Amino acid sequence: MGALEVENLKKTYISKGKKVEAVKGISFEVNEGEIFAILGPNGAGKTTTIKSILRLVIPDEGKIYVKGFDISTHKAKALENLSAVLEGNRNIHWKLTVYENLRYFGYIRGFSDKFLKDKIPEILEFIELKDKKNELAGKLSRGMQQKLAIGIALLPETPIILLDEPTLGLDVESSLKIREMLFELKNKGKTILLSTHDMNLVEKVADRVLIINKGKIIVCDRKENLLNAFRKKAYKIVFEGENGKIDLRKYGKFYEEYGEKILEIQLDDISQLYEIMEIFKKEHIEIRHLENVMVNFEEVFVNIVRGDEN
Amino acid sequence: MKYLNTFKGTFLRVFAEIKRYYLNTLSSFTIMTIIFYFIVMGINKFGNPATLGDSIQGLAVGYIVWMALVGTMTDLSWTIINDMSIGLIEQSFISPIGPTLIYLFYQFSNFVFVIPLEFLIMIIVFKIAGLSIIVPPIFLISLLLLMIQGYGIGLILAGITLRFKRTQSILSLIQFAIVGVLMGNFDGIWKFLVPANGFIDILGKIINGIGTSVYDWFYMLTSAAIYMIVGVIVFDYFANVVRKRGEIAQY
Ligand SMILES: Nc1ncnc2c1ncn2[C@@H]1O[C@H](COP(=O)(O)OP(=O)(O)OP(=O)(O)O)[C@@H](O)[C@H]1O
Ligand SMILES: [Mg+2]
Repeated sequence: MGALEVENLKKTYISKGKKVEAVKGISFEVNEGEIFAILGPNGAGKTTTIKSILRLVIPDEGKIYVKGFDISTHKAKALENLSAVLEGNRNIHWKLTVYENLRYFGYIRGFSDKFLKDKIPEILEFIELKDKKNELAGKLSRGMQQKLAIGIALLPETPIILLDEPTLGLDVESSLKIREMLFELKNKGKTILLSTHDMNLVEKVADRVLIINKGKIIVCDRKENLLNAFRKKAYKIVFEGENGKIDLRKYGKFYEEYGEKILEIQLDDISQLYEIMEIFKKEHIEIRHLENVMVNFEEVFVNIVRGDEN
Repeated sequence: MKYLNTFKGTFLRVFAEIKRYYLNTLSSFTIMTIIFYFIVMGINKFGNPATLGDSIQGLAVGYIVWMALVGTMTDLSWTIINDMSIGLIEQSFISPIGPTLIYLFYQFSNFVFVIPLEFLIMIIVFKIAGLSIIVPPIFLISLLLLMIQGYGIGLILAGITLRFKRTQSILSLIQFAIVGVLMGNFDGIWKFLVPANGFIDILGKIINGIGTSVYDWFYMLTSAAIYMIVGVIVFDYFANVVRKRGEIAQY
């Protein structure tokens, strides 16, 4: 049993008489203790999926199980296992101090003074806001507000945490901090589901990746598998001498670097590589070496989504 | 136990908010009192001497009933508007306790803070009106029941706000609508259904030393309870509507 199971989720919004099919039958499972990232272009249905898991949105069809509890029939039980930081600089009470925020959100989930008295200082330590505990949340920087929002989500000690675009609008330093926090949480055994446009974050923290577009799944796999699949298809040919009359730009990215000539190619299938080698042989071009190109996740993502669009 | 904790949370929130806005509260409170003072002066000057006492007394009772209702009916809606705009509302929906109970507790917390304020207003208004400030306890109990009814209506309005979002202008109009409801003459079933109207007569009777009947108490208890129950049901209903529409906060 996964920590989270989503089966055939469908949601069509009706707003001002117009129908928007936001999610068109999505199924996936998030395993215990992993960091699971949902990616997709704007409007792909990431937020709708996350909100459906939290029952902030009631889907038209589909089942959602949180630690085995069906959220449509056992809402309170399911929600006891979930906490979340939603999109944007929301989630906190601007007119309350950092400490009051943590206390308020702890209380409204039903936690006792005794629990909160021990837990809040621990959270303040973790989110590095101990010195700011008596400041109004509205006066904090965007990065600190996001840390506080994460602190609020950690307070109830739920095994599963959902984060909708946790690094959106943060500077490099704050994003790095959030990334570190995600690692620490994973080490503590938390299950994390996040959505993001931050490919750096995905590349660094995600175990598995779900890519959706226009409400449908394009791919769901381990991050390494996706990277490897692309690595296998991306080659870099380094050679010397003249390339004669053939126009190599036709085959891929051609450039010179430190006196070496380099051709980078993307293959749909491996036989294309042999065809290019054939041409090199005919033109008597001497190949120095051939290697797989290191691809980053951004390129993987762009290619997968582009592939889906065509 | 966990409900008690939730209550504590809303209580401390209301307290922190009042603390931070107390100048605001104090100034609107002062303005209200000054307005009342001038109305009484006006009546003393231009009113018919024969019915002067009655009309000032009626005005005083009407005024405190109005003060009791304005806040109880609209405070929660303003809170919901605030919570929708800064994103607090989602956290209430995510809590296993759920938004209906959390906001109901918010109402109770508000009640605890408003009671002393309301009694203070009552004393000042009675003083200005030249009435005895020693009121019978049943007057206070009736006033509390009226406020509970107000909170029930508050939940209905808050549910409507949750669904339709931009209700600011309606909320501002409510202050005047209450005056209409208080002054109107209703008969039969309407007397029972229209909020607050029946309370005015009963409160007037108590002040005049005419006792209350069993029917009066039946009316006050049931109409307060019915509005509260309907309020909870309506709020819960709209909480589900916005879940279906995907519009818990502004979309
Ligand atoms: N309450 C709503 N009413 C009507 N349409 C909605 C509502 N919420 C979302 N949508 C629409 O549904 C689609 C999916 O939205 P969603 O917010 O799930 O996308 P997303 O993947 O989170 O996008 P982004 O990356 O921009 O955050 C979009 O076309 C959006 O405009
Ligand atoms: Mg989104």
